[in-house]
Amino acid sequence: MDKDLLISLSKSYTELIPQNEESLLLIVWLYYKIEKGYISENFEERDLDDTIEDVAEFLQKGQIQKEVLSRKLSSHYYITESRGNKYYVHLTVYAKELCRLIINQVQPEIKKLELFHVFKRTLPINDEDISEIENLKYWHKNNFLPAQKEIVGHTELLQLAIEEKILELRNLLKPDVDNPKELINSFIEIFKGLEEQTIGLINTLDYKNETVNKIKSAREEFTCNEEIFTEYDRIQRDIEAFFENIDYRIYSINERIQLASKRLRNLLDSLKHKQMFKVKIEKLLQYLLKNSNHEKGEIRLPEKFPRKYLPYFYQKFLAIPKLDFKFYTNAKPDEPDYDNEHEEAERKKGIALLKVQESTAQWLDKINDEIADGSKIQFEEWLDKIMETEGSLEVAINVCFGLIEQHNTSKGGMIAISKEEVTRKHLDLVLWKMQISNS
Amino acid sequence: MENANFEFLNSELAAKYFIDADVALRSGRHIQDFGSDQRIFHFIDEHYDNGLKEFYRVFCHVPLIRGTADNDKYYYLDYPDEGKGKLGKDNRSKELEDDKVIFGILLLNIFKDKFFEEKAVSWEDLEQIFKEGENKESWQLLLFGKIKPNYTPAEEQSVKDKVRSILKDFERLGWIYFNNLDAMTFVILPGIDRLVMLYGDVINNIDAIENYLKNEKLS
Repeated sequence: MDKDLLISLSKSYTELIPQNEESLLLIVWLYYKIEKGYISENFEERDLDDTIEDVAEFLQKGQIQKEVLSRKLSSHYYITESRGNKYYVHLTVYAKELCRLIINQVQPEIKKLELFHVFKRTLPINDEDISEIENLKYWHKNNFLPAQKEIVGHTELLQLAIEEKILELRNLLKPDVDNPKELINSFIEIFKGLEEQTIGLINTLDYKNETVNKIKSAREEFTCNEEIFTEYDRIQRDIEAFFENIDYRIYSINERIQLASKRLRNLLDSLKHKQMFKVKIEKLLQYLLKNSNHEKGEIRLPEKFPRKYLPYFYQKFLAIPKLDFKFYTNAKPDEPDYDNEHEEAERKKGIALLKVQESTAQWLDKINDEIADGSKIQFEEWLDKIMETEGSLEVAINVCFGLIEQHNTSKGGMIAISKEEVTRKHLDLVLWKMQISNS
Repeated sequence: MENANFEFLNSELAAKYFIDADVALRSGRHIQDFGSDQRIFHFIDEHYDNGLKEFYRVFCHVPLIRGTADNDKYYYLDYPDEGKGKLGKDNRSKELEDDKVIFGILLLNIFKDKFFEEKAVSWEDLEQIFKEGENKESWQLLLFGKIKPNYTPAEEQSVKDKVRSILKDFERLGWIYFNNLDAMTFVILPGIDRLVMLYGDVINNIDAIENYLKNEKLS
C-alpha cells in the first residue's frame, strides 16, 4: 500500500472518524433534520445549538459544552459561512455520505429496495453497448459496477439480518419464553419477508445469463487489436467472477432461510418438550463438567456415572507377524484394490444417460424449429418418429416432459391436450392427443 | 432357525452394498444420508422393514435401530436390554471413554442449540467455549489440569491434538463430518442423537441422579 497514504491516514484519523457518541449522534441528527426538512441545508447556528441540546437530553448527560464538541468535529463534517451579520452552517458531502452509510448499516431498509426493477433497467446490455470497446467500458462503469455495488450491498444486509434473526431464534429454546406461539408466528413472518427478498435477488440475477452470453457473443468483434482484446477480456472475466461469487452467496443465504423457516413451522407442537429436554442436556453437561477430574492428562467422569458400550471392531494382530526382511527390501506399498469391472459398469451407465439427454435435446430442438416456423405439432406423430429412430421410450417421454415444461415457462406458446385416446403400435402404449403451437 | 424371509439378500443392491453396510454397522458406525454413506444408507433404508432388521435380530441377536433427529433418519446397531447379543463375544464392543462422553454431550448440546441452522462448528467455536464460555473454569481444569490466564503453545497444542483425536473417533462413529481436518472445521450429524438413546434415562432424570450421586459422595 502507498506509504504516504498510510502516513496521512494515521495523522488525520481522529478528524475523519467521529471520536465519541456525542459527535456521531450530532452529525447524524443534523443530517436527519435536513433530510426531513426540519432545518434547511444552510442552517443557522441556533439550529446547531438546539441539536446539541437534543443530543445531551437523549444521552442524559446534562450540559454538553458546545465548544468542546465543536473542537472534536473538524471541517471534514461541516463548514460555517458568514452572510451579513449571521453565520450559516452546512454539512459537507463527506458528512452526508458517512451518515447515509452509517444509517443504512444500522437500520437497513431492505424492504424498500426493489432490486428486481432496478436491474431490469440497469443490467441488460444492448447491441450498441458491445459495438466497440469504449461503449462496453462505459456500460461496465456506469451500468454494471453500480448494479454490482447494489447487489453486494443488498446481499450483505440480508446476510447480517439473517445471522441476527437466527441468533434470536435460539432464545425460543430457552424455557422462560412468554407467549411462544405468538413469538413463533412473528418469526415466521420475519423469515417470510427475508425469503421474499432472497427470491427477489435470485430473480434479479436471472438477467445474468442474458448479459454474460451477449458479452461472450461479441468476442470476435474485439480480437482485431491486442490491447482492445485484453480490455474486453478483463471486463468479461470481472463480470463472470462476480456472478459466480454472488450466486454462491445468495444460494447459501436461501438455504439458511429455508432451513430456519421449515424448523419454525414444525416447532409449535413440540416446543415445550424441546425446551425442557434442551435444559436437561445442559444440566447434564454442567454436572459432568463440575464433577469430572483431570488425572494424568486424562478426563475422568464420576465413578458412579453409568458407562455405555458401542459395537466395535478391534484391529489387532492375533500373533506377532513373522517378517523375513530379505523379502521386503523394496519398501513399495501394496497397490490398493481397484474394482475395474464396477468402474466400467458405472462409466457405461453414465454414457447411456448422456446419450439419452443428448437425443432428448436434439429432438426438442427439431420440434421447436417446427413450432417456430408456425407449424402445429401433433405429439403422437413425433412420438412415432422418435421411437423409430431411437428405439427408446425414455427419450420420447423426456421430450414430452421437456415440451410441457417449456410451455409452462414460455409466455406465447399454446398446448392443447384432449382426452381422446390414440393407440400406438409401439409397446403397449395408450396416449392422449397433445397439440402444441406458437399462439 | 425361525422361518425368516431374507429375500433382500438376493437383490442387486445387496450384492453391492450389504457387506459395506454390515461392516460399518458392526464397527459402531451410525449410517445416515450424508457423504460417502449415502449409498449404504439408501440400501439400509430400503430393506429395513423388508428383512434387514429381522436379519440382525436372528443372526446377531441385536436390534438394528432407525433413529431420527430433526426429521433426519440414521441407522445403528444397538444392544438388547440384556447383554450384548453376538456382539458381546470376542471383544466386539467398546466402552465409550470418559472424554468422549463429555465431548459427545457438548456436541449434542451444540446440535440442539443450532436447531434452526446448519450444524457447522469450528475449532475457534470450541476454543470460545473453553476460554470464554460460562463453564470456562471447569473446561480449563479438565483440559489443562489447571486454570491459568494464559497457556503455553505446547499446552494449547496438546489440548488441540487431544480434541482432534476425539473428533476423529466421532467421525468414525458417524457423529460428525470433517470439512477440514487440519483447520478442525466440522459438521455435527444427526447420528450424534444416539447419545440421547444411550443416556436418555440419565438426561430425563438428571435432577434425581445429581442428588443421588451427591449423597453417595457425602456418605
